[in-house]
Amino acid sequence: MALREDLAPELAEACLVGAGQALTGLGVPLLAQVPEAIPSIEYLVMVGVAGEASGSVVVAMAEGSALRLACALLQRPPEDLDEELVCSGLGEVGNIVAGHVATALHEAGIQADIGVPSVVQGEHLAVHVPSRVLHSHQWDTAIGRLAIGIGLARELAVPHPGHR
Amino acid sequence: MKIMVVDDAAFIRMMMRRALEAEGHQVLEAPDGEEAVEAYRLHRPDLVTMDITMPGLDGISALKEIRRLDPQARVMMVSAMGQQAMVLEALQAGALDFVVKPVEAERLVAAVAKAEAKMGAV
Repeated sequence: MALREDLAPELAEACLVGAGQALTGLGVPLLAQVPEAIPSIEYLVMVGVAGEASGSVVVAMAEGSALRLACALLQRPPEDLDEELVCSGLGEVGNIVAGHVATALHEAGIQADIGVPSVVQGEHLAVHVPSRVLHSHQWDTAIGRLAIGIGLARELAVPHPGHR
Repeated sequence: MKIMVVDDAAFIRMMMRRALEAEGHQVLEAPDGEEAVEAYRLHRPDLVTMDITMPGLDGISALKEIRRLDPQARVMMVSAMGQQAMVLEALQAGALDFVVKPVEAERLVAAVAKAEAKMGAV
């Protein structure tokens, strides 16, 4: 008997739409959904999901987009930002995006909680969520191209989450 | 008012401090639930804004702990976890209000003013 199953494509799409709405709410309006991947992912924000669905929500971008996003969120010029503040801002973006994904899951009758975000910095980073199909969208926004990915599976034998 | 902002994101604490101090409030900060409970014990703020997803003691557990210390404590949840079950759990645990992130300065100030009005009405 299978322990988990892939998220239905329409539910994955609803989660991605919710995630996109979170970016708009953060003051980063989505200009256009684009098919092209980000040439070099240099910042990854990863948020774990646990409960009746499990896996990860990922927000990815290039360094320039990350700095512009942090400046926009903090309403400060780049010279006033240090690495810790940039990562804190990006982590919060991940938290809010994943929160909207959890809400989309809840509306589909699936209870899931999100974890604390991790921010990874590097060059040409790749995203893999083991045993999960990664659904993703890329958007061009006022601060550059952003990608959101959800690698979630529905757990078939897990009780309702009791703790955050 | 003396307001304690509880959030693990330094960026959110800074943004909320800036918005609340501009309105004349005194602001304390705590980066997680455990420090929030200890700071509440020491400083007894008039209002607490509480994130939910934090390392260590989460916001709902911290809310319950603070309300155990002080049944009159005023705690407003400010979280990205806006699903109905979470909101209900927080309100049943004694939260004064629930604000879903992202929360811009104007909405935060309005929510605090609403909480202040509720407190005055009690």
